Amino acid sequence: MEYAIEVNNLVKRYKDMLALDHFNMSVKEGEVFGLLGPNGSGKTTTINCILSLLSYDKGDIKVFGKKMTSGSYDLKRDIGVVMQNVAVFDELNVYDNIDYFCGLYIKDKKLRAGYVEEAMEFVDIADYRKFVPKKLSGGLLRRLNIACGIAHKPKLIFFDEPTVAVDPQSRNNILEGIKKLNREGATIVYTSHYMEEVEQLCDRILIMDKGKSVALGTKEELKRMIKNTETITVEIADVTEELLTSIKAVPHVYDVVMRDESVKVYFSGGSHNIIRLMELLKDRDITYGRVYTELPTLNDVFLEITGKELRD
Amino acid sequence: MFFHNFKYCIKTIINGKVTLFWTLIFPIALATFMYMAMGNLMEKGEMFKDVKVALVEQETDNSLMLNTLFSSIKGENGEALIEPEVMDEQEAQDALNNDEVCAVIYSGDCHMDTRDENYKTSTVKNILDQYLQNSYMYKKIAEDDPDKLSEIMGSMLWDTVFYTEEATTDGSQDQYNNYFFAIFAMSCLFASFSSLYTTHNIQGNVSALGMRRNISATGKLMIVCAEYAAMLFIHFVVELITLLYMTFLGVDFGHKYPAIILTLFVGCMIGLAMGVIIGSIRNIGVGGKIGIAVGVSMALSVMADLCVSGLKNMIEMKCPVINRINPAALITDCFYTLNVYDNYNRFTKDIVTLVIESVLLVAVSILIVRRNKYASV
Repeated sequence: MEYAIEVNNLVKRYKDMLALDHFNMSVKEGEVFGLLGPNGSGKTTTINCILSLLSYDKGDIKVFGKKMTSGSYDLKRDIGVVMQNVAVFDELNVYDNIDYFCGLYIKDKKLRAGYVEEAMEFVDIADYRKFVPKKLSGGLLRRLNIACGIAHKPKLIFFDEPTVAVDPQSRNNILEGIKKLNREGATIVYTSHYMEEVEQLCDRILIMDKGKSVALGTKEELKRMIKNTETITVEIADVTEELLTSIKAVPHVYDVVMRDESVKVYFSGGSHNIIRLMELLKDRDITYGRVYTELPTLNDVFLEITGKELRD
Repeated sequence: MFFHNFKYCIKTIINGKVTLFWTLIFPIALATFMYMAMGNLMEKGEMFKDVKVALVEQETDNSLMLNTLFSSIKGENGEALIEPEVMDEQEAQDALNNDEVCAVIYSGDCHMDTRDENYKTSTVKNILDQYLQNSYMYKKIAEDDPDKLSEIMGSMLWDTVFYTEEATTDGSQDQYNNYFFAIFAMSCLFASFSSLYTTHNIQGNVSALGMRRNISATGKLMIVCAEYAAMLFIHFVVELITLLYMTFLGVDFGHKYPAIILTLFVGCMIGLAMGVIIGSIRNIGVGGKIGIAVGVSMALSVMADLCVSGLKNMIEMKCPVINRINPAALITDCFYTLNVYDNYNRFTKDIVTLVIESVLLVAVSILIVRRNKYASV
């Protein structure tokens, strides 16, 4: 198995605060790897250590099997980064911005010109080549930011929360673009605290909290780690203690929570749980409103492992 | 990679119109306004000469005396400074009203009519007053003691001392040039705004652009060198344009143009170096850094007499070491020494000091930037 990134036993301190606590991570070549965690969990610190922007106190980082240092320009040639903050020159137009950043990796002018055109086509911004960033909409600006990060055709691309403050349409475009890059062979490391995006994109997901890895696996594997397999919510006006006790007696129910005028029923395993629950309510002649079922999310995984919400 | 960074740094400076305004348009505009304000004082061709006066003859013998007196006042090359013309009263008034003469002098009581007061009419009036005073004195002596008249007249003539100006140098010593030197010093220090931005944008811990460039396959030192070279090039060109413009305006910079150009080059170096060190300060946003740059530039400029005349001399008396290290003072001193001294001793000392200061500031800045342990990006 070839690894694009290997992080072993990484420790990073900011004075008294332990930002990374013996952190381990391995990213396979060609996969989309998700780094999920709440704000302050250490995602950006991890990426900055991998990119040698930050020095670390202990541990070992390898990229494509080689030790990564600030002077590893041969490795940096194969790395692209799309940051959360748009990093372009306000004074340069779209073409010049992409050409400038591409030129930090590619010397050959002809080759570079081809790459710049490809990058503009990739993010669909070629029609705006003469526009300066101030004239671009937020979505186009994000696309330019991506083009600047990927124009040199890197083999490993970091996307650090690229969809923060982006409208839904642009967000979908960005996610589709990332999938396309992966199909073309790039290894992707995607960090976000938006679990839906991570679920949608990533082959494997690592959940971080307080500088530690708390869970790792495919989204199915992560969901199997937790007790909850299904949550059914029923709107009931008059809930009695007797009813709650009856619901708890339904097979595979492990918890029932009453909130406002609805009852949340948590199941662990089983199938056709909603039918059993409906039959119970019918038998007891209980009037109910809307009924809906939810499968566990990564937030449920995070909640069960750490005891707090991802977006806390 | 060097020329790639060089080219795009020049593009960003040229497209960033604010920087160009402060470094090019502002000094040119200031020089133009200054020239308009002091133009007549500087214009040597517009000095006291070709002053035409009308002489209205009345029934006294003053007419001949006055004509002789005015005609005898000559310039340093022997040219007549005042041209008296005898007219009747009506002709004289018409000539005055048509600005053909600046004053009408009546020979009877030697009074003078003018339409407005300026340095020409004031000078003619002074000459006239002195004539009246002396002629009254001679008449009085002739009446009281005629024997002593020739003796007194002789002594007055012999006691008259003539002062002539002799140049000790070939350079221009025009005091008004100092204001234009001051503009150059200020313009050079304003180059710090460009380097401040560039230095800010190369640091991964303070700007997203810095982060993106730090993780690229091009070394930071290469980017810094290329961008510093680009800024030096563009600001030097800007200073040359300003120099050309001022020369076109008629400002006399003397004849030592190679040394003046060297001063502008080194001035750009120190201005950029100041921006580099301010840009590398940690934990301050770009707005705060601009504030520091403006404050430092203005403080150094004020101390170099750029705004308040006499402060530099006061500093020279109280604490001369400040003038020896203040970049603004050193730049103006370079221009001053080029104009006043024929040798290059003091000029060389100033230039060497500026170069050493530039190198020191850039070296310290590199140390600061390299030592940065990024707290959080």
